[in-house]
Amino acid sequence: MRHVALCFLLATVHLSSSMGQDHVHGDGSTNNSSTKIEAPKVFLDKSPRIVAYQLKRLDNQRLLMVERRADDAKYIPVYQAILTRTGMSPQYRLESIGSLANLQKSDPVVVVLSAIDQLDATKREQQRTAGQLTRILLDIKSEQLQSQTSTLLAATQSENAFVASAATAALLVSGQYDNRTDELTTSQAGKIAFLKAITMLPDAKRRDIFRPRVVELLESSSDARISNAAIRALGYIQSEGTDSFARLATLLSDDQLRIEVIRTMLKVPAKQRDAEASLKTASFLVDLAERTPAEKRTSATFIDAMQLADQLMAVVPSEQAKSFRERLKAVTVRVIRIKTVEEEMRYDIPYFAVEAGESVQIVLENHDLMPHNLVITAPEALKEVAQLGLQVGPNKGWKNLPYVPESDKVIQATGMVPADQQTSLTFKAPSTPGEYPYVCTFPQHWYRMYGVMVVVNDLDDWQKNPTEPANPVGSNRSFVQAWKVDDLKNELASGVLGRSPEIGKRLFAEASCGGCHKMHGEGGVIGPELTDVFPRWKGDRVGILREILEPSHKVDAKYVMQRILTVDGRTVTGVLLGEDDEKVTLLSNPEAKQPTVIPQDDIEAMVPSSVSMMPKALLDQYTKDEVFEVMAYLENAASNPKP
Amino acid sequence: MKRKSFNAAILFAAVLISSLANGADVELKKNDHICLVGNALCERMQHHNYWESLLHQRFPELELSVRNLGFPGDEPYERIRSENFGNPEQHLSHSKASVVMYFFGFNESFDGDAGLSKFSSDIKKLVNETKTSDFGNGTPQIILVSPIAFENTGDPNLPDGREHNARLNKYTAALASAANETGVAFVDVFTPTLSLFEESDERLTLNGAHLNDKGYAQLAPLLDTALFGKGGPAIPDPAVKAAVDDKNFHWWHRYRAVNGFSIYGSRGKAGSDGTYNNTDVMERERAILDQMTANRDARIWAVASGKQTDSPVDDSNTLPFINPKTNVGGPDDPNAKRGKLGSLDYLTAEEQLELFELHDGFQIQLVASEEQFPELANPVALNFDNKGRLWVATMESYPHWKPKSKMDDKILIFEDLDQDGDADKCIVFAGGLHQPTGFELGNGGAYIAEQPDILFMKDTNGDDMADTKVRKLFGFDSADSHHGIAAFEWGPGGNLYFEEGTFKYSQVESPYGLTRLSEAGIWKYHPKSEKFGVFVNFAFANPWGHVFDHWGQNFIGDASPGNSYWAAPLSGRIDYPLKHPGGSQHRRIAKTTGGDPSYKFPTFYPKRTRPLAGCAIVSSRHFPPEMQGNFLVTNCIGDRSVLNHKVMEDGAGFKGEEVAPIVSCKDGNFRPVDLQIAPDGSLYIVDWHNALIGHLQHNLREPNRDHSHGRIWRVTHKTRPLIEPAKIDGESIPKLLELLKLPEDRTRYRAKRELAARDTAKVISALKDWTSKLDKTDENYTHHLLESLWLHQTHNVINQTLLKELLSAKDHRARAAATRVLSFWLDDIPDHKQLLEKCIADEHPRVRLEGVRAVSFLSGDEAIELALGVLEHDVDDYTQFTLDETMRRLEQ
Repeated sequence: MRHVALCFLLATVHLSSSMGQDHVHGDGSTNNSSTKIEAPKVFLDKSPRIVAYQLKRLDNQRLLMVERRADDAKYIPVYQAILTRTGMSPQYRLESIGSLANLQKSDPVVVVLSAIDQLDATKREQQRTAGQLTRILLDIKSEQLQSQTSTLLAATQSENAFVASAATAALLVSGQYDNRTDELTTSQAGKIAFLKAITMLPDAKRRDIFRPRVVELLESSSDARISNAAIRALGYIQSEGTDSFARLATLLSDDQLRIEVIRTMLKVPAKQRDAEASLKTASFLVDLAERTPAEKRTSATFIDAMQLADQLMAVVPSEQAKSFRERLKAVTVRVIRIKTVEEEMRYDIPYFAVEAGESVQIVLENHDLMPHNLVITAPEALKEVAQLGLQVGPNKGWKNLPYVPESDKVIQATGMVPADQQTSLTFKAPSTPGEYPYVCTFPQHWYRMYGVMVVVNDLDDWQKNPTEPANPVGSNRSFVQAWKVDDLKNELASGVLGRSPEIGKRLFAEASCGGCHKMHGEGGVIGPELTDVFPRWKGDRVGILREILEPSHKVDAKYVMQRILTVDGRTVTGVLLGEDDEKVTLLSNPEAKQPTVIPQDDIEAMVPSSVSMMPKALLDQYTKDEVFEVMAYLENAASNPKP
Repeated sequence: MKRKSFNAAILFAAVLISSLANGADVELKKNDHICLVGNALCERMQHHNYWESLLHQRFPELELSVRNLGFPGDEPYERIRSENFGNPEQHLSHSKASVVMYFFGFNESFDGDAGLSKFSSDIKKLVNETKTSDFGNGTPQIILVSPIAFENTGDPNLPDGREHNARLNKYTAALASAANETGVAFVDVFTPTLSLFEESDERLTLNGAHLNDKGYAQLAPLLDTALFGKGGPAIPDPAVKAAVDDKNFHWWHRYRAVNGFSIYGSRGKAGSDGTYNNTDVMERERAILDQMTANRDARIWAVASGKQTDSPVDDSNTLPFINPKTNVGGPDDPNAKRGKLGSLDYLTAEEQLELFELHDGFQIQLVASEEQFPELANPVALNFDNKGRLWVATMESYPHWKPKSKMDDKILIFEDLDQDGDADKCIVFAGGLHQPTGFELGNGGAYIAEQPDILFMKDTNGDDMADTKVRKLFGFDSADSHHGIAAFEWGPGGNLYFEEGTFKYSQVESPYGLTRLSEAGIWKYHPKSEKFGVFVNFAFANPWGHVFDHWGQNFIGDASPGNSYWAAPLSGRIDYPLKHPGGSQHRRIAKTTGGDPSYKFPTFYPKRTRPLAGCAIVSSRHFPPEMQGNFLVTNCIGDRSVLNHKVMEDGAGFKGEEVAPIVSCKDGNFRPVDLQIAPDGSLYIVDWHNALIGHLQHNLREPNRDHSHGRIWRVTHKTRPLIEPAKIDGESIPKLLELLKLPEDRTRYRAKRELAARDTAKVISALKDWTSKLDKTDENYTHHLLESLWLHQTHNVINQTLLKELLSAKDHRARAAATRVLSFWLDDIPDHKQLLEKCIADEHPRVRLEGVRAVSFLSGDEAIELALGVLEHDVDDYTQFTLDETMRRLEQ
């Protein structure tokens, strides 16, 4: 599960007040912001309401300028404000947890739980913060969690559902409840908290342990809330997928559960979808499609159902599949849903097949923080279209779309989809079979963000024996591992020995680092130059590795991604180059020839993102050796001449 | 200070004149175009044309064209203007400047030593940029003119100028060395005016800082000598000056055109008749004015050369006017569909009278109409003088004076000789005006809005016709005639308040420094101390209503959106470019002015219909008791009514509730725009009386805009007796003080207006006596004390004892009012922090709110600490807003 890979890694980081000198993602220097801001005076000796009011008035930058010391209790509200603030870098949250634990003579576990308790679960931003805090909680070493068992147990009873499930998850992580989950699931609230906790556990193996209890709760439940929570939890459990799939198939007819059932079934890998259950499910879904009124056939729920039906056609006997397909064609267009993956700059689907000349609808959901589009190109034309798109830039190209070139190599294209929004594209598939790449033509994204639409004469035939299309950018790389700092750090010192600068340089280019960073004066400017990264970081290898693997751990103010919402509803993102009374100048992508200038009058809101513009998982297609090659290349860059 | 010496010498007698000024020559060539750029000293020169007359008299054969591009408050690189006004280079190019005279340093000097180096580098940068420009006449010559000295007027209410002159001296020196470094001419008028002020027995400035007419007359030869050396003409030739006046009149109305936002700004695109929009029509008029100005240049040269010139200037060479078609009528007239349009078939006043519907118990009568008094065309505002007579402002030329026509908007006085309620006689107090959108009486004359100025006009010989006219306040924007200065109102403490609408970018100079305001607000001006500033900095559309209640709490009406606001939370200090959030125009400008763009400041009662042209509070024993304190609003579109609202205290603030209207009319041309309780307790209503309403909805030159109708109506109760009007004009001070005990707000208002004009020492001495003899058992004792405090404030006399007594009064309304007074006296009350601390801890939320509001005029961490104290108590929305905004100011 990719989701788990997003989790923030801290199992061995000690939570204490002395977090040590942390580094800035970027050039290692302090704030480069043009306007000098003075440290605000906060009257910490006044009543809590006054202190809270003053702290609330400060933006993140000013809040961090308020004096704080871990040896004086009057600074508690400052740390509390930092800990619960939206968009705060994790390093400051960790520092605050350590300091609060000291000042309150408390435990990090207590500190985190009470911080989660202060968040407003109805606000989306605060939910995100609660998620971050929960990840911090679950990364605490299990011995430490065990020592707080009674606190955690008490918190499972909290009326705040987020606290209850976070505490439950912490107990599950601590390893003490592997065989006695029934103790946590006596009440209805306890059951729901437990089932939600499963979805929070960072370690997939740990989730598998609790499968029996999840199944038990699903079987015994007569309460739709519990059933839905259990179904959702099953989607996060990898073991016994075949059983889960079959089980879920039997629940499809329940109106109260169907939405969650379909979503979860979509998560079960194709290989674990049992033929009989698949046929039954496909048949049910075709009936469902026929009896769904036309006006409801565009809902997300319906699209989920059709997505599942479509996938199951590959498993059911082909005669059956043909007949299902005919019936579906009569009521709906075939839907392919493609999602972007947050912070990873990729689509969730590497390829899909369509039948030549048939209608198809692509729904592109953007779950990332920056805008993306999807352009289908003629076979083998990905690179050409992407590069022409770059020249078009944000101006209007094909069908007035930005970054889409006027070219007969463009088959179909969406507009740029802003963060958290979606768009759909309905078209007839090309009549000539072949491998048609799709790609995000936003500058530089094509390196990583692409897939293939396979056009075939007979979809059922193809699905009987699907063949993976060739990589459209010619990369033969495939996923190796979702690298974490802990996977590499112990071997890092020895790993960088005896590496070759030539290989390092090649990998640096292949992993598209040079698109944004200069090395020996060559490369992009959207991130800091890396030639002297090691001296700047005083040789801190682990720190630099963390910057590569977790780019958002700390973002230098100079390289913070700004998201601008214009009064006419456009979203523009990029790194701020300058701002004055009249305009804001942004570098919206590494290859932009000119900065984007937006008049202040056109700006509705400008929101700095706590997330780095640098994609995560850049090295997940690289082996451990290759990662060390890149590290060695960086380490030796300052002392070595250009290789 | 040592006088700088100028080696002025005439080098070439006939065509080329030069003088050496601090090492740089001033050389005037034939047909030079001289542009004057800079602050109020410069701008006002075109209204007092002594220097320019001397210039033409000295060099008639050079045929010089002078264009004044001044704008009060201008600094080298900070000159705020309404949309698309054009930048300085565009204007210099329009006038093909070959000589640029820069007048800077006065406003900048308030920054003292801290601002000197920036001023110096800005000036040098500006000079160097100008030097390398070509405005159509080759490389321009540049002359830096120093600020004038500050006059010690001897008026204890005004600064004595010692600190001003020390600063101005340094800024003059900075200009001299900047001129030296950049190799351009420099003229010192600081030193000669310093001695001039010392030697002159006559007052030469309005307020210490700005020259009056005599001052400009005295400056003229000083400037002439400093520029060109001795030997120039001694005095201006009246014939030349008259020709220059005429030229500059036309130039003024071209460069500072009223309605700029509808000419070159966004609303230029409005008013299209299918072929021509506002810009097409009005830019043509500006082009005509350019031609008329040029024609008058030639007239000046002729007169200065001694030619006979009795004939009027020939303007037959100008471009034709563009005359747009009407957009009124037809089946698809959107204004008719929306109910905005009246009828082009105007009813007689008699016919209209039949169409009124009155509140139970009330009746209506005609006071005056255009039928009997043709002067009453487009009446817009009313007032009553201290003799009890009705005054009305008219805007026959609305929305805009047309070149080649007579400019003759007016202030009228109506007399009711037989006391039957209708007018018998009309006197033109002042004619020749342009768009007097509002006025107020006081200090023996009338303050009259004539954007971009506020005039003070006075009758000095008792014939009720003004014979002096002073441009008293200046620097207001002229971007829109219907957003112009309106709703003049004396505050209870002697401040004159007036309102300005959106699209406007104003810069107003005062002896205490410059105030900038963009995009609407309310100004405050104390005529005694000449203190000037922003009272409410808030993005109104076009506020036309402002009224104070019995206890000095004030309410504001914003016309276009029809919003009514309680003023206190909005009147804390916040400085340009920031504004308090929540006005109807806030969202559009929030990026610059700060604050949540989606926030809307609450109205004190739910708005049902728009707009709101004027407002009044019922305070008259002629009205039934249950109506006392009601908030009346004129509605001239949605309802054609005087709407009526009950007002109740609610936490810190107030809430209102609409009740049956006072009067409404089925004649769609009934356009009530202003109203006031008369001295006899009845209610007077101004009826603009026009079929068309709306500035934006029709071309400025729409042929069906009316220029002749106007009516004044009077509402009385059928059975309740009228009030015997109080005798005010010429009454003794003790008698006037007794009037402060009367319940009618407007009577006390007029009595205080009379007392404000009397001698301060006499008033304060009588007031001391009056206050000490007040009956402490009177139920209105506290209010009488408050009037005493307000009268002290009016006369700019601090009375700490009285203030402290009222700050501790039992009645929270008195404490709130005293806190407001304290906010004006902070500089003079040493223990103001302790007093405010008490206010902020008061048991009543309104006093706490006023306390937090007052803190916005302080600064520093101590002030922040003071304001935060309010959080120790319950905080309602109004108080939270006030705290948030005070914090914004303190963090600004």
